[in-house]
Amino acid sequence: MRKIFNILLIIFVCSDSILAQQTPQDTRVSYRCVNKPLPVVLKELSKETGVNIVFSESKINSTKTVTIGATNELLVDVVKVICEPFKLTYQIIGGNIAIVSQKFEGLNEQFTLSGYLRSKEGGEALPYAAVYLADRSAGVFCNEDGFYALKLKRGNHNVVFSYVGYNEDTLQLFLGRDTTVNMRLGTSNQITEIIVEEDLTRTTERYGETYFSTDRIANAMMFAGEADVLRAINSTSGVSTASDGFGGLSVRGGNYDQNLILYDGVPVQNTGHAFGFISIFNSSIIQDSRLIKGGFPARYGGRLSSILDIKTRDGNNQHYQGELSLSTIASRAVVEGPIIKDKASFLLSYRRTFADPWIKELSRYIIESGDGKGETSYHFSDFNGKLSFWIGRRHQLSFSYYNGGDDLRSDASTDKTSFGARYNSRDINEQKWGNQLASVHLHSQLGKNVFSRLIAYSSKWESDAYFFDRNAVDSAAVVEDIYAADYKVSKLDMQGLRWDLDLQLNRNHLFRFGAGYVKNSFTPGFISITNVNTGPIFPEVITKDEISLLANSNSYGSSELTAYFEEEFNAGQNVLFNLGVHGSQFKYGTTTYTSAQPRASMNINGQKTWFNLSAAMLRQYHQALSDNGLGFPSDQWITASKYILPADGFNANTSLGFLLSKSSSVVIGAYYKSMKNIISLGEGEALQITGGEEWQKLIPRGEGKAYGVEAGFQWSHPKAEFEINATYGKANRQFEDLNNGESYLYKYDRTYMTNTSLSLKTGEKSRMNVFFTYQKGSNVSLPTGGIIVREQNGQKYIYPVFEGKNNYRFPAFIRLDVGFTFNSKSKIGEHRIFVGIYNVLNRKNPVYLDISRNNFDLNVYEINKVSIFPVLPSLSYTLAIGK
Amino acid sequence: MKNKNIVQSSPAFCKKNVIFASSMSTRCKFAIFFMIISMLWSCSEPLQLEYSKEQEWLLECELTPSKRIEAKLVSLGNFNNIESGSIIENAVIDLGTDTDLAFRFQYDARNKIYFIPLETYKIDPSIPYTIKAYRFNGDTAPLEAKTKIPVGQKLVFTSNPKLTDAIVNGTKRKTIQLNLSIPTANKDQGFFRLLAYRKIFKKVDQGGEITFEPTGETELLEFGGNDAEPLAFHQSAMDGAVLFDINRVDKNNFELRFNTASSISEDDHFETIFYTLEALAESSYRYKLAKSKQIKAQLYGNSDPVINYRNMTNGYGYLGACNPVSDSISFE
Repeated sequence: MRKIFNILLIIFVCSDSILAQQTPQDTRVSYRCVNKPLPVVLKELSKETGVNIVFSESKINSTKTVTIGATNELLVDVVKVICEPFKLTYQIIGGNIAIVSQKFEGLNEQFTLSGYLRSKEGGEALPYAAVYLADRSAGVFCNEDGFYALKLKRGNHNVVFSYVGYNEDTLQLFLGRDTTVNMRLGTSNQITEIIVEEDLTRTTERYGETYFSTDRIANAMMFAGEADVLRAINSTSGVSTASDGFGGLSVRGGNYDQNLILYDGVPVQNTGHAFGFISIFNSSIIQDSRLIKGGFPARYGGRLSSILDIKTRDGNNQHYQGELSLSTIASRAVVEGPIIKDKASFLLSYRRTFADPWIKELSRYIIESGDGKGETSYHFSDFNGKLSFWIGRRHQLSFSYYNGGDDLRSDASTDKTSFGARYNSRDINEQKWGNQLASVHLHSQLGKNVFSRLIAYSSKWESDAYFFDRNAVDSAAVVEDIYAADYKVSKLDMQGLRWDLDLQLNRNHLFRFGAGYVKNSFTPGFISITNVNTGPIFPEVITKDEISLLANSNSYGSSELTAYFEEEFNAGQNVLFNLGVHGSQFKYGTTTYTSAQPRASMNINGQKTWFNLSAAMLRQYHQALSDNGLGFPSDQWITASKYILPADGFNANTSLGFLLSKSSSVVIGAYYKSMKNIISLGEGEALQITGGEEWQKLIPRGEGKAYGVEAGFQWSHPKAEFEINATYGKANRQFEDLNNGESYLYKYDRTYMTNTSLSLKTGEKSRMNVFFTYQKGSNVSLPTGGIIVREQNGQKYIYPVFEGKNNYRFPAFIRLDVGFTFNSKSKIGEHRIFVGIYNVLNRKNPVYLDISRNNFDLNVYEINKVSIFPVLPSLSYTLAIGK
Repeated sequence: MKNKNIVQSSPAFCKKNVIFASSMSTRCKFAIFFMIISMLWSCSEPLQLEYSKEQEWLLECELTPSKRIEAKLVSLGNFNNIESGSIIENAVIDLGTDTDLAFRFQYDARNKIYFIPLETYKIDPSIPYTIKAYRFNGDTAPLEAKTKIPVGQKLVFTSNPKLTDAIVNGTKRKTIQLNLSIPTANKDQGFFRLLAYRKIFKKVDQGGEITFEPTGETELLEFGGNDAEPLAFHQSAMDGAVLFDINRVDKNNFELRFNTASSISEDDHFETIFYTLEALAESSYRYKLAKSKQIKAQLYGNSDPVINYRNMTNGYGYLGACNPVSDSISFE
């Protein structure tokens, strides 16, 4: 136990030196004195230890004295303590101790506390965990690998290690040299009972970022019993979708293709199974994810609206464990464990729908009940694998792999004769889409303050869709055979290498630098064939193979070189700046685009309030050409080219937060974004992409703006959590070649949205979740009349009149979900049952308008609003073994 | 046939379902069935329109110097009923300047069109015009629109037209490359419609001497593309002419390609391109562009809807203007 030091005032005016022989750092001393002048004490210490202590008496306040008692303490510690009241400190120069003013304290008087934070149970890294002094005078967040480096002055410190869902741990230490502390945080008992006391300082949007821990995802309302990170994100302010996750995320009025989605650092193009109702991210293996809606750090680039950074966890390197889960939609298995204890681990997971036999039987029954024949089949699956190796204390090597996709096939036909007329129809729909991601990561602590991440990755996205539709009639009055076939293909193949370096210069400066190179290959293709025969029915089919040959899809190559630097520095008074520039050079054939995108943010973090202000320039080289912005898997991902300019954006963001109490907080914020050179399909154009570059010239480009305010309130209690957020925002688009050049509302301009969630502990082992959302309807183009054209020959045609693009707003989107989670333990493991009802109010929230011509009278248009899910009960069972 | 106009496809889940039988226990079967039913169920129901513009009037009128002034007036129908909508007869339509209403349209019952006889009035390119169509009951504000007559512009060929062989849609054609300029065009008067055609000749053997004589027929040349800004050019689905906005290209040097509609046989002769360049009021340009896109969209099932253009207040349609200049150029 360290002695208690009492230091009193002593006056000294002298200059002296005392020769000594011993090494100062290792020397220990036992010394006592009462009310002695500091020069006297220093001389006595020097004499006692033999260490030469050099000082200038003119620099020492002569009105103060020293009282101290030390037993077998390090000499440097004693000197440090007795000099502190005099605003003096020491430096070790050669074998001497030099007493200097604190303002001349050199860098060697600051030391680095660094290391990794991992979980106690599984050993996986805890990304973005907080490490800070108990008095909050200094602190850092871990990087994505759980590594932290905190520069601190020599002395005693109470360091707090904190991570959502884990027990907070405080370490008292004297920092007299660079020190590595690797911490392992344990999960709290409450967590195992699914009680999450979210750390409000982390869940609120202090840095324009929203964190989603595993527990937050698990406690978000489940869809069909599947916990889903994208659904959790969709419940935050400023984020919307067409409906129920359908069509991707629109963040603050941005297009769905403007979200940079990183899965273990690998960009992902499409995140949806089942057209977006379920994300491709298996929640069982997600470690941490964060959504950045504003204040984009310079290390990110390539998208205009948001960044979603999802990290999977490492496999447990201590013991084997697994998880089996069965839900309404899918079954899931996770296995993990050590390959070499503490040194290497693996994690494997597989998920698949099990509903396909039922869908097939059901569809067959439906088709046959309509005098037809055929069936529909659908399934999705995904596999994740991760191998992690810890090499020494400073390096980690990991391999990640993901392969997942969807397969939908439907073929229905009818051939019947009624009242002497023969009707023949055939409807074929084949769609496949999926991602394949592979990456190798090498994370290294190169020095006390230097951390390096090297990643080589491959990201492949492939989608193809084939449709064939025939309707024929052969009667005395009419003989007509109309058929249409469409084929769409979209492939995007990216191979990249990226290196990031974090350098903690001192406690106030963190410098980041990085560079990357990515090679892209795009293969878009679309062909549509419509034919009208007035002869007898000849029920041939244009097959997928035939039409895909006609599509003659070309691959288009491009490459991108990126580099950034980012400086995060503490300007004092809890003011933190993050300044940086993200640069990129993009090449497509002989066309080159170069950009430098400055980024800046300022954060003021008080004990109970925080304020954030940020601005960023952004550039995007890849965009999706979408049917009315709905975000289907069959959308064409295309690259910037000679004719398609890269999209540019500006984003400004501010937020102000208050900690109302230890368990409640309020955040209000505002945002503004502008976009240039964004693309869309032209009006009336079914853009045929059949090779060459001509099609690229036919893509309209325009601008967009979005602005709004957001507010959120959180309350957390051991037995309940409550959150409500609201957004009021506007988003519009303006294209010279759309809507007659007039500005129009963006499809997902919902103007007003609010989400409310309540998670309530209903028993020792049970919890109830309630989620409610109200959003103004999305916008669609609706005809308001028809121009009836009468030809001289008596033939009539109808041309629907569209007054304006997105001129009609759907009724409000309202949904209430309720779910119950029950936990129990047995000898086998932990059991978890979820029972829920999705859309309790059975509200038919429309997703899109289906404007079709009547099957038998092409001059009659039918407009239907299509909603997807009415009330939907769901059930899931999860068994965790070895946890 | 069901051509979807908004989206490429509807999800597979968009099917209404009914019960089927299986060999499982009744309780288990029912539970799973109930969940899947819900999962697969999607609701498609007719949209109850909260507003409809049926019975609103649509007036189309384009003023061209030296041509008879004509206007067409109909009421909008329901896009769901081809028997709806009607031609409006006996309406009062006036044409005049801002300050002085001068002429009232007459109605041609046979052709179901309103007109002002050429002998009554000829368009004066120097003055702006206003059109007003009054509803019968008079309690509704009249349809109203304004326009100015654009100045006719001359097409300047910056180099001689080039004629080359080409294969278009699998057939042998001739492609004509034109390098053009409209130096007098300006920002306010930058909308054009270009109609190019050739005269058809026949080969005549007069005692061993081969000559070509015009048949009196003409062939419209098809727009064949442009290297610079194709979105500035649009081949009209109404008449095959090319609509373009000179402000989106270099007015002093832009290229247009045309293709012959058919292959040119040895018996044919092609030495001169005839053309008409119409300077359009912006309203004419936008109205024709939207209408043409809408006609084209009928050919495709999968496309965003075309938004109609109008400069008519209190109704639909447009008052436009056009000033044509015709000429020809021969290959060297």
